[in-house]
Amino acid sequence: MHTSFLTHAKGLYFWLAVLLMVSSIVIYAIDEPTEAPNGGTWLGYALGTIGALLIVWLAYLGRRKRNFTRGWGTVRGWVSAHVYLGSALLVIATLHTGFQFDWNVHTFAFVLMCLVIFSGFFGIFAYRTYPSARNELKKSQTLDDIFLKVEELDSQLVRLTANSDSETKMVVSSAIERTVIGGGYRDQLFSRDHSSVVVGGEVVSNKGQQRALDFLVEKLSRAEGEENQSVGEIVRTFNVRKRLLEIIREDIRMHATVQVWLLFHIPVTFALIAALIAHIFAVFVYH
Amino acid sequence: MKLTVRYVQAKGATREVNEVVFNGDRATIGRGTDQTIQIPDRRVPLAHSTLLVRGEKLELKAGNGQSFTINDQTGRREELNPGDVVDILGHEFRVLPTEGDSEYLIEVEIKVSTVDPLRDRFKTRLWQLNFPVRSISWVMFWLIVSVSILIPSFGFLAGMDFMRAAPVPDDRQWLAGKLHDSHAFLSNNCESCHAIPFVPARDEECLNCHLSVRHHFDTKTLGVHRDYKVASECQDCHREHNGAQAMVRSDQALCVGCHSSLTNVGLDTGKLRNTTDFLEDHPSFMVSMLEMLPDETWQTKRMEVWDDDLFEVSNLKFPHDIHMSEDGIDGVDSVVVMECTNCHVSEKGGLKMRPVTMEKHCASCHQLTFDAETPDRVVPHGAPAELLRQLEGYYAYQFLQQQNSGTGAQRQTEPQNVEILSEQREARRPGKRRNRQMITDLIPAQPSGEPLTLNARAFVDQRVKEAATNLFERQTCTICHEISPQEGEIPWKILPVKITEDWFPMAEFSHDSHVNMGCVGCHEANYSAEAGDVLMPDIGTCRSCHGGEHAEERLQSTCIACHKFHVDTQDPMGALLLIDEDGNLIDTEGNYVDELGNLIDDEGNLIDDAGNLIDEEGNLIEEEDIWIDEEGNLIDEAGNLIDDDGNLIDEMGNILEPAGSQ
Repeated sequence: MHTSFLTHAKGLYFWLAVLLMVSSIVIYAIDEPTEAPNGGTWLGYALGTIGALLIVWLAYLGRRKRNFTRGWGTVRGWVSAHVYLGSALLVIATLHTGFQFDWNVHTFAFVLMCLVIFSGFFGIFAYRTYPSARNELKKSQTLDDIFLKVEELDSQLVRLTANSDSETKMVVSSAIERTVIGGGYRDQLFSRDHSSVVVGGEVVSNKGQQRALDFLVEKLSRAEGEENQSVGEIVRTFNVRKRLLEIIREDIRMHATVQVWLLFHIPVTFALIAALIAHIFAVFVYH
Repeated sequence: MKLTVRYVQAKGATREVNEVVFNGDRATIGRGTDQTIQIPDRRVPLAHSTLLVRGEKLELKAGNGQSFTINDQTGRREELNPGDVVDILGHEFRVLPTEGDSEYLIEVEIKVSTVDPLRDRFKTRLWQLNFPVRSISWVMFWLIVSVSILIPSFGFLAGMDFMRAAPVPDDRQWLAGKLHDSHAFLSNNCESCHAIPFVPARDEECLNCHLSVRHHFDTKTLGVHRDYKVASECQDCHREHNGAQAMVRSDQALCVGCHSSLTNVGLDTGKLRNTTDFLEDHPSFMVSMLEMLPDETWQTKRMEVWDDDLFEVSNLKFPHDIHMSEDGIDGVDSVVVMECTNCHVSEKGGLKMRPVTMEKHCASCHQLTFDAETPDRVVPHGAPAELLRQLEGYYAYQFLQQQNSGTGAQRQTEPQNVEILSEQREARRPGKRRNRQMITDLIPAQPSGEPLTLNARAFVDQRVKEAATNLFERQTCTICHEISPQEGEIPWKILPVKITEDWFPMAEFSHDSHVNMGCVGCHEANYSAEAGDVLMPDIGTCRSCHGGEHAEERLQSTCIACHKFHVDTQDPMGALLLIDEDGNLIDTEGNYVDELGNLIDDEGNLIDDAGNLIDEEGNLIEEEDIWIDEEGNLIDEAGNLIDDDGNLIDEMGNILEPAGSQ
């Protein structure tokens, strides 16, 4: 049976994280420090030490879980620990602050930590949502399979239009040649379509292959007899190709969404570790 | 089925032809190596379609989801006849008439593909964009390390002020929370408290400003050093960077640490009783009451507030109950209903009451009249000798008046003879009584030394004695004062009056914060018939509202709600730490001390009060043969001045006799 990282080892790390959070909250609630709650009371130091160790360890886990086979433990186990203990860190570090925030390096480190954790939450959401959605979309085919199908359809369309008039040939072949897939960050993330087509000697946008399809449908409505049949075949094939392209674009979009937070998560984690070092340095240099 | 496949491959201008014969039910077409007809083109699926025989006819069936073109028409399952042309991704399959013993003949032309697979022509994954995650990560890491650690730390070399003035990141970003309001001005001046990096802020820095802060107890009696066990450093109680308001530690545990058992911590002086909680475990209140000794000096006496013998002898008579009667008390002109605040008004802050005085609070009713014939005349409130002198003057004047106007003219001593100009009169409020006239106002200036006749002398003495006896013994002075007979010119002695001002000197109580409570709720003055009654409440009165730190249904009050840690009467903490040019710590008496306040000699060795070397437990190590006179000069055993080397010297420092010559 498939178990996700969320239910790994019957939620071992989930319960560990819950234990950490609940015990921190309970101790914080019953503790009566001799001053306003802050990072400098005994509980503040304890929570701060746990938090700092967690940050370093979780950052190492994030790296460690990419080594699929080496060392002990499973990748799923590492991810599970990373996710749950990272979430617990939010509570531990917040209690460590004693809710004292200001414009200083200390709060800066806290804010960076929150950014890392919340981007991680987005990662969890993406990993939980998009892979199955992508499978649903592609019906157990790989993206390569779909690309091959498109290529096949392209080749078929060239054959199908072999005897058509030159304008139809031009529209179909330019639509194929000028189909654009993927591209830069925004193109992938928002499935932008820069495809174009040559109609009547002019290059016009062919977003969603719609312009070319409109041309063919219009031609179909005027065609009669045998021509009607052959144009109909072209329209059907072109339509299948259009649907396949839509699937490809959606898949690229979802895959990019699953990956894009990492481009944020990792650099901010590095920033967090630097700010954490600065935080600890500042606390002890002006002890 | 017997199928001949003729592979045709263009080689420049010529064509290379290979024939392969297959036997079997079906022939498969695809890229896979297990296919009957293999198309080595990455774009072609591993298994694309299948050739099979249906009836006598050859049929091409595309695999699941696949299709092909036949004679320029899309097809998925088509019968193949000679002359048909099938196109699979540009590769041509031409069906030819059979030759030889082959049942079917297909000519296959594999086109060499020069274009990349479609997918390779696009960037379809983010990682293909080569986002520099690693470089950005390290740049951010080192940027923050530089801005938040390295650059500000340069201030330790160049001076923090230099860094703060320069447009570069400085140490202010390290500020770990707002300072207390009273320290806010130091927010940009970290080193004023954090003098040494990585060393916790020291008391020395606190005491630089707070020199006059007092010790909690007598450090000389209770220990040579100022180790408070719980609070040995300022920071133990006073924590900074917790916002604008919080600065003083107020928890009960801090005090209870020692005060639950002063004996156990070796700080018992016998004066204080143990306590742990105001509601649960706090001794009843003791008052500090003034008491007059036989020599008429006053001393403070500590007594339990519930003690039956508690009676204040202030030498004043005052029945609170009569004055506070709800029906009122007879005033000069009418019945007056008095309130506590008529006499008792607190100072600003409410900690102390303003003094009650005869002139302000009593005199409006208690007029010092002395002669029933002249009820408007009063004597001044003051010393008896002065009072008698003035009576003599008044009656002498009266005698003169009688001499001038014949016998029985006493009425002519009425005040109309001496008019006071209206401008000089104090303004009189409507409804108030007329101004009293002092008898001194009525005595005209007389040349001194003019002899009085014996007759006059007798008259005056007689009248003065009558009036004075009346005043002291019967109706005026004795109403309020304790008066005892005495030998001498004045036979009455008014006993000195002193009222206890601070009953609870160990605690602070603000009347201002209790202003909404009635006075008699705590001070049962309305039942007090004597001035000696001590009307201070006991702890039970406070406990009806106040509880300890964790009290339920009571106002939670910790020790410092009433008691101060820094006791006003103790030595200043900071005075231990005057620092001379060489960095030596000096106490209030000019002795060298170490950081704990222990006496040390100029070499840093521990010494006792007499200058003897001691160890850390206070045991004598070695006696020093050094004495000093009152001015701090070195002297020998005989009290002669000597210098550092032991030579006898005179006051100017000249050597009189070298050391060891005797």
